[in-house]
Parts: sequence; C-alpha cells; structure tokens
Amino acid sequence: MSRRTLTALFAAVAALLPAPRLNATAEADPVRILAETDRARGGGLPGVEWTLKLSSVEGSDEDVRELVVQAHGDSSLATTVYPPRMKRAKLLQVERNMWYGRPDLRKPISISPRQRMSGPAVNGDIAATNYYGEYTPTLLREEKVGDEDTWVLDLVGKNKWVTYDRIVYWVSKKRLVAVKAEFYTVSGKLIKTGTFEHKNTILWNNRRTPFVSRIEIRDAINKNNYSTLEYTDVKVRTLTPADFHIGVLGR
Amino acid sequence: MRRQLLTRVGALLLTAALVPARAQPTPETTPHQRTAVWSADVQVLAGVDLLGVRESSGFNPRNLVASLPSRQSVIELRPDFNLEMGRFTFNFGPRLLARPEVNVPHMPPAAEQEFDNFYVNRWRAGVKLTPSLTAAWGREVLQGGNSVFRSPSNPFLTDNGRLNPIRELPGRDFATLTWTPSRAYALTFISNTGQGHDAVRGEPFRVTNALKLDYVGERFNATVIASRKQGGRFRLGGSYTYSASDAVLIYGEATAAQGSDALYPAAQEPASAPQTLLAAKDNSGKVLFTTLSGASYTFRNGFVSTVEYLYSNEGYSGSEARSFSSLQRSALQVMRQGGPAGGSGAELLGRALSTGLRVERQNYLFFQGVLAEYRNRADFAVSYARNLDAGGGGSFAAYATVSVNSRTQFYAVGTWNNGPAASEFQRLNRFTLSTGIRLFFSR
Repeated sequence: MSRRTLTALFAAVAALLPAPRLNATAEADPVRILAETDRARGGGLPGVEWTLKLSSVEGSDEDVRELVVQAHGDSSLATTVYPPRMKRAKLLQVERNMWYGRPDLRKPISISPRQRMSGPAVNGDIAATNYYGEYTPTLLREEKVGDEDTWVLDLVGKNKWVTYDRIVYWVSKKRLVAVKAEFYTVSGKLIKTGTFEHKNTILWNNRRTPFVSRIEIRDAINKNNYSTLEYTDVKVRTLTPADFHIGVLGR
Repeated sequence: MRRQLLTRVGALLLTAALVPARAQPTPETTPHQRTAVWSADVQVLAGVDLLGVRESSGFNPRNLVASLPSRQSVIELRPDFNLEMGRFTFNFGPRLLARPEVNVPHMPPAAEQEFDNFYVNRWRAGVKLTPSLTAAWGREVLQGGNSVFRSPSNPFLTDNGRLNPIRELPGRDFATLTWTPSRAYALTFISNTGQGHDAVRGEPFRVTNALKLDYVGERFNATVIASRKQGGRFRLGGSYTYSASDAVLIYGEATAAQGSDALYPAAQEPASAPQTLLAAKDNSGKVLFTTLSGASYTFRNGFVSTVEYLYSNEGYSGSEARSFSSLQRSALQVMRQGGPAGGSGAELLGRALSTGLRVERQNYLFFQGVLAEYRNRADFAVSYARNLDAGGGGSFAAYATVSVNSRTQFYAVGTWNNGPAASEFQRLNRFTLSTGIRLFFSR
C-alpha cells in the first residue's frame, strides 16, 4: 500500500471518528467549557425534549407543576401537563420573543422576560440554556466543591436581554457540567444561587453525555424561597422551526 | 366553491398519508420514534350570570329588541380530546351547555328561545406534510397580535376574549397551510370555510381567504395579513411586538381597506322619509383604517400594566354620530306607535345594535392592570376603556380567578358601564356579573 493511499485512509478514518471532548487536563478554554456545559442543559442540540417537574416554595405556599419542554437552538416550547387547571398552557420562546398561551386566555400574549414562572424560577430557567451565546466567560480560579475539582467561570451578559446580568459558574473539570452557580444583577447584587445534578444521559455525537437531572434555585435574600427543577424522560429528537411557530399556542 | 375547496383539502390530507415524511438529516442524534399519544381534558363550569338590563334603553326598550337575559344559571361541560400519531394530530372539543334557569324580562311569549344546546366548538385534523409544511382543517379560534382592547388586524374576528377569560369564543371553520422554512419566517394560507358556531342569524356566510406572513427577529416579531372576503373587498392588516427591555413591550395592530361593509346612517328616497342604516361606504374609494398602539410594563412582582390607544376613521364621525342618535330616536318613536309600522322601528333598532363596525366611534383609550399567578393560585385583572369622542362613555371590567387546589377554581367576571344613556357601552346594560366554579379533570 503506497504512502499516499495510507495517508488518505487515515484521514478518512479520522473524519469518521467523533470529535474529541475537551480534555480536562488541557489548558482550560472558558468558551469551550461553557459550550460543553450548555449541552448538558439542552443547548446546542438539534432537538431535545424532557419532562420537567417544577416545585416551588415561597413562604408557606407550595406549588407543583409538570411541563414537557422541547428545545431547538434558541427556541423552546414548554407545555404544562399538571395541574389539570393549567393543562395545555404553553410558553413559547424564540430568541428574545416570548409568548404565553392558555386555553382560557383565548389569545396567546407576548410577555416580557421579567414574567415569573413559579417561585424564584423564571421563564428563562426552564428553557434550554444558551450561556455560550449570551455570556462572555472568563476563568476566575480553580476550586474544590465537595470532593470535585472545578473551574470557576465569571459569565458577563453580552447584552441587557439576558436572564441574569452576571453569573459565577462552577464547572466540574472531570464531567464538564455545572455544579453550582450564583446569579447577580448588573449592580453586583446576589439575587439567587443554584445547584445542579446530572444523573441523566443522552446519546449525542456517538457518545453518552451527561444531562441535567436536578436544579435547585434559591432566593439569596429570602432563603426560604426556592424552586426545584427535576428533569426526566430526556430524549434527543428531530425538531423543526414549525414546532416553534406561534400557531402551536392555540392548540 | 366551498365543495371544491373541501375536496382539495381532503385530497391534500390523503396525499399526505401516502407520502412518507422526510426527516431532517441528524446523523449524530438518536431519532425518537413517537407512538400514538392521546389526552383528554374535561372542564365543568357552573355559575350564575347577572345582566343589568336597562329597561329604559333607547335601543332596547323594555328588552323587546335584544331579549337579553337579566339572570341565568349556567352549567357547561367542556371536554377536549387530543391525539398525536406521528405526523398527524387530531383535536375534538364538543360542548354541552345547559341553562336551568333563564329570566328574560318581557320575553315575547311566541318567541323561540334556545336555552340548552350541544355543539362542537373545536375540532382539528392536522398533518405535517414535510418538516416545514403543515396542513390543517377544523374549527378553532384563530387569534393574533398582542392587543387587549380589540384585535383590528384579525380579519376573522375582532373580539379577542382577553377581557373575559371564562367565556369561550365561538369557533369558526378554517383550512390552513403553513410553510415554515426557517425560524424567522412562516407563510400561512388561511381559508375561513365556514362560520362554525359563530353563526349570525340572517347573515349569509361568505368565505374569506387570507395570506399571512410572520417574521420573528431577535426581540421583534411582526405579522402582515392580506385577506379578501368572497365578493368583497381586499383588506390589509398587520401587527408587531417589540421587546424594548426585559420589562417593556411596545406593540401595535392595524387594518385598512377601501370602503366598508358597515352600516351608516343614510338618507333614503323620498327626502321626507326618515333616515335608515345602509352600507353607505361599500363602494367608497376612501381607505378606511383602524390602528392600535400599545405598551406594557412588567413590575418585578409580576404586575403588568398596559395602555392602548385606538383610532379608527371607519367609526362614526361627530356628524355621523348625531345622525345615528337622531335615527335611533325616530326608530324608537315608530316602535312605540305599535301596529304594523312599529315592527319596522324595532327592526331598525336591531340593526343599530349590530352595525358591523369594529368600534362605533373614532378615538379610544384603554388601561389594564393584571396580576397573574399571585401566590401561584390567583389571577386578578382590572381595566377601563374610554371613548374619547364627544358623547362617548366608558366601561370598567374586572376578573378574578382563585384556585383552591389543582382541580378547583372559583371565578368572578364583571363590567360596569358609565356615560350617556345612548352611548356605545351604556345602551344595553349598566353592568354584568358572572360568578361560579370550574372543575378540571384530565388524563
């Protein structure tokens, strides 16, 4: 076999191999780290669907909802399936545009990003994450969280439309998933904290990658107020722009 | 024409069943094969409606023209069934409405009153012909735009139901074909093939066809819709919404057409004959339009405040409004005379209550405050609409829903009208109040 043929053969085989994941021992690139963590929360995938149980506690009030969330790029559709009185209520997000449709509202309405979903969780928390597109990351330091080595990233919003103006993000070096986070306003005030678990997995790019299974978001001022997001039944599926057209809100 | 359209839509759906859908190539993902998924939801509503019918109304004297119920009890069953099978979706929503007690002041003894009925308010069969092409046919309420007070851009209906979330809007029959080539654009052909449950007695139905273009940008979205009623005029409408910040939305809607189908006070031959209501601007070359501009602000606690201004040169001008009032007084006088001529007076008053105008006058201001999901179980809203033209009145509206558990909700919806007795909001009733309970069951 000639050298030229051998070279071509190696190149062909290399092209078929899946892209190598970020090497945790290589020099940390905060941009690539952020892209990897997004994938574990639905970002950067061609289509993904999950069932979300959203439990909120605010003072003496408790609220439980279940939603089916579909996400594709910067679009997401969350359909409420529990409680029965809110069944088929839908939240559609396409870029910065957000619409809410409920059978009794008759007409889908545009809502501002400030509208809350339930408890400390806002609409931006339940959709797929696109921190890679929305924030500029810098590496602050390395730190141990429990017995896990993490990179601590400082995420600054690229524009005023982001859900949180600034996020401090702890990312596991080994698993390349978020472990915990602090959410700040533009004035530097801490408003929420979050912790993450990743016990789900999805098949993506010919390999099993971790996917978020639980997030707890706690109000930094009133620590008794918190929301828990539990992710189950995660599926990668083909979704198209037609699945995120405003017409779906009326059904 | 209607049979032809139905045949074509049916052929389209049949073809879709034979053509395999071509999925987008996603070799790096595991495609999920969806099996049939169905769901059923049932809403049971029981309540009482009160209507402060004005006995001295100049348009509805002693309730002999409109025959409005002053009080009724309502029990309504609203089941909804949904089925998803691969590329196909089916929805079916029959309704059973019972009114065990209805009190209609001065109801004519010979009048036929339908108090209980069964009807289908919603049904839909949809198919994804390709990943970007969806066809559907059925009965539904097609809405668009972000406004609360009125929806001028909608060529099919102007009442968007946002002031009363309890009442269901009647569904109409539509065939639609939507092409969504990208996230940013969608093109939809819509044909209003039937009046559905929204039938208006005495008015022949005419098919309306429309072409709608939707655009979604980063924080701006807009719609342009061109429509034409069978044998009628071409109409152009549109709406937009702009997210100025995370708390502020700015939006607008508009519609325009040459001429109008609405009824206007007009002279008739001979000159000594009283005025009547005619489609006097049907052949007018003048462009008549309605525009709405609005903005909303969301506070950190979730409270949303909204303000809207509507202008319509299709509505009655000052002189037309004076002629309209004069016509109403004449018709009332004729009606009170009784006898054979009295019927013509009542008929004219009936037409005066349904002129076909989106709004009767030209300038309106609207305010609304909404607190939704208060403590995750209650919604509250209060609004006020004011006609700014001379002699105009206003209307307060409010609703509250309170859920006591995941399946049970109490509601109250009301309006209170103010202004001159013959003004748009006041002429039939001084107030309305609906209150009751809703139960939700689902599978």
